[in-house]
Amino acid sequence: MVKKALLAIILGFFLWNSAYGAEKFDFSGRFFARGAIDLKHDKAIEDQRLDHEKLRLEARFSPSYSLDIKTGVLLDRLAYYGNKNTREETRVEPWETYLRYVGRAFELTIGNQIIRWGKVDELTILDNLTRQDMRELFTLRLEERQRPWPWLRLQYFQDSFTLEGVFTLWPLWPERDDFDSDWAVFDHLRKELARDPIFQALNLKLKKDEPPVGLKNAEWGLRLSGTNKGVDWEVSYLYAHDRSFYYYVEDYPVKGLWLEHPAEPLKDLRAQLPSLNITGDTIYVSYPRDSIFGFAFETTFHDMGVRGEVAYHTSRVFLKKNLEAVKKPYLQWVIGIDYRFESGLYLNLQFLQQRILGWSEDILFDPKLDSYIFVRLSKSFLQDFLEIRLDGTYGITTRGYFLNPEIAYKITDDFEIFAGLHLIDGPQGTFFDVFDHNDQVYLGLELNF
Amino acid sequence: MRAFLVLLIIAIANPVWALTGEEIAWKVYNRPQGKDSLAESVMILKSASGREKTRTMKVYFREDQKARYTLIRFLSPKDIAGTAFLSIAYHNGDEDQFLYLPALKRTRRIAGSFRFHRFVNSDFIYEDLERHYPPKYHHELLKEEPFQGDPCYVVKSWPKKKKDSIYGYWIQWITKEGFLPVRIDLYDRKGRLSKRFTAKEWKKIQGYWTVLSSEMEDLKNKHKTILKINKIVYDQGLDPSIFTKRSLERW
Repeated sequence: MVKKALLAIILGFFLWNSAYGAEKFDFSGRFFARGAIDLKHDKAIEDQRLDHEKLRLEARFSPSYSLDIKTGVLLDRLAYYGNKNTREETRVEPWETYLRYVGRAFELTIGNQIIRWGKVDELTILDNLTRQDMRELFTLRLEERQRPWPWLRLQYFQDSFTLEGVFTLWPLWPERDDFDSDWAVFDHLRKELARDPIFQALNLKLKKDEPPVGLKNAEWGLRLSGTNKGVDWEVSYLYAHDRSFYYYVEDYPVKGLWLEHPAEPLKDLRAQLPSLNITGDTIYVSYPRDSIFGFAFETTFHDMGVRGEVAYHTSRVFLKKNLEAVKKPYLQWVIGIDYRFESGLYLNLQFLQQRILGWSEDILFDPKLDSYIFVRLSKSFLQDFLEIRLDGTYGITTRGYFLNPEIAYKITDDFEIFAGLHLIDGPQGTFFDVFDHNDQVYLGLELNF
Repeated sequence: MRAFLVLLIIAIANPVWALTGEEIAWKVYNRPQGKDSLAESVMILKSASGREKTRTMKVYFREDQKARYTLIRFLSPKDIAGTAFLSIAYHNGDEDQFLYLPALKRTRRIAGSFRFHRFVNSDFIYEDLERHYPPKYHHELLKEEPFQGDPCYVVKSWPKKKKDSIYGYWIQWITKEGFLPVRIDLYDRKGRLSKRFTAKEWKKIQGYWTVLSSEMEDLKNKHKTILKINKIVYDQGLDPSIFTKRSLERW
C-alpha cells in the first residue's frame, strides 16, 4: 500500500512537472540492458540464458538552498530461460524519493535513499543501509546491486566531526532468489531432488516469516566521522536484521541430512537415504537481529589510496550441514589500496578476512577463518572511450574464484556498450563450486539521458 | 660605484626588473585570484576529425590563510552530471583531492598516482589542475618576449623529483602584468613537445586577471580541450561550507 502510494506520488510529480515549470527541474534517466548466455549447456536443470533490463527516471528540484526534493522510479525486468522453464519478473518500484531540509549545521532527509557507510570499494563490509539485489549474486557490481531504502536520516556537522543518525521502520535484508534460477539459494538442490523419482514427492517450499513494518522491527544506527591529519575516519553502530547471504533456516524438512559436498546434494542425499526422515515440505526461515559495530578509514600513502574497514557482528547467520542455521558472532576486516600507474593502468587490490567466533564443525560453507582477495585492473584507450577491465575474487582459504573480464566502448559520452565473461569455479563443497555451472558470456548497453 | 648606484636606483624603481625564474614562479603561485569566485564554464572536447563533445560545469573557488579551495561540479553530460572534484591546496604545497561519484554516493580521496590521469576524458590531467608549489621544481628564466601583444617572461620549469610530474619540463609564457601563464609548452620525459596550453582571451575582471578562453592541445593526437568561462563573479562572499565534503555530496 505504501509502495503504491509512493509510486502514485512519483507519477503525479512527473506529470505535474511536464505541465508546469519543467525548466526549474533537472530530469535524468538511465537505461541498462544485459543479456547473458551460459558457456556450458551441461545440465537440463540449468538456465541457459538470462536478460536483465532496467529503466530509471529521476527528477530533482531545489526550490531554495535549504530544500531538496528528489523523486525517481525504477522499472526492472529480469528473465531466465532454461531448457524447460522460463521465468520472467517485471516490477516497478520507487527509486530515490526523498525530501531533504538543509540547515546551517544539520541536514534532515526523509524518504527512499541510498546511504553509503564505509570506505572500501567492492568488498565493503559496512555498506549495510541499502538493499542489495542479490538475484544475480556477486556477478553484478555494487552500484548495480544497490537499491534505495526508506530512512529518516539526520546529520549534524561540526568543523571537526559529523554525527549521523538513521532510523527506519522497514526491516531490511538482502533480496535473493530462493528457487527457479541458477543463482537461487535452494534451486540446485530442489531441481536435483525433483529429477529423482525417489524425491519427486518432496516439493520443497519456503515459508518466510518476514518481520512486519513497525517500531518493534525498526532499524537504527549512529555514525561519527571526521578527518584528522589526512585520514578520513568513521565509527558506526547499526542495529539491524541479519544481512548475510544465507537465510536463518529455523526448520529444514529433511531430517538426518548432512551435506559434506553441497555441489552434489543428490549424491549426498542418496547415500544418506536410509537414515533420512522427511518431516514436511516447508522450509521455515526468519530474519534475526544483528548489531554491527564498525570502523573505517581512508587516506593516501606514497601516492596510493589506502582504505580499511572493520566490522563486528554480534549475531550472524550461517548454514549448518543439515541445512538448518546457526547464529554466531562474527568479525570481518578488509584493507584495500589503489594505484594508477603512469601507463594508465589502474589497480585496486582488497584483502578481506573474516572469522567466525565460536566456530563449529557443523557449519556448511564457511571455515573458521576465511580470506579473500579482490583485484580490479583497468586500462583505457582512445581518449578513455575504450576500457578493458578485469575484476577477480579469489577465496584464499577455499581456493574458489570469480573472474569477470570485460571490455566497454563508449559510442558517445552517454552511450556505452560492453561485453564480458563471468567465470566461477571452486573445489568441491565450496560456495563457488555450487555456482560453477553458471559461467556466462554477456553483452550489454548503458544509456544515460 | 656610480654604475652600482644607477643599477640600484633602477632596481628600486622597477622591482621586477631582476626577477629570477623561481621568483616568477612564486609570483604565479601567489597570483591574486580574489577571496572567492564562482564561474560557469564550458569544456569542449574536440577530436582531430572535428567531432565535439561538450561538458558544462560550475567552478567554485575560495582562498583563506590556510589554503586555496576549488570545487568543480559537472552539470552535463548526463553520464558525469553530479560528479564533483574538491581540491584543497594548502599554502605549504600539500594538497588534498576528493572526487564525488554520484552513482556510488561515495566520496573518494584521490591518491597522488591519479595526478597523471586524464581529467574527465579531457586533455587536462589532474596535474595540470594543480597549483604547482615552486620549491618542488627548478625554474629558469629563459627570455622575455611578447605573447599576443602582451610582454611576457618565458620560464622553463622541471621537477626536482620524477614523482612530482609526468612531464620532463615545461616552458611558460607568463604575463608581466598579472603573472598569468598564457602559454605553456609541455614536454615529455624524452624531451618531446607533447601538449600546448594556449590562453585565447584574458582580461581583468573586478581587478583580477582572468583567462576567459583557453585550449589544451594534445599535439600527438591532434585532440583539443577548449575551456570557456561564460560568467565569473569574484568576491561575493561564498560560504566556506561550500568547500567541504558535505557540500560535495549534496547532489
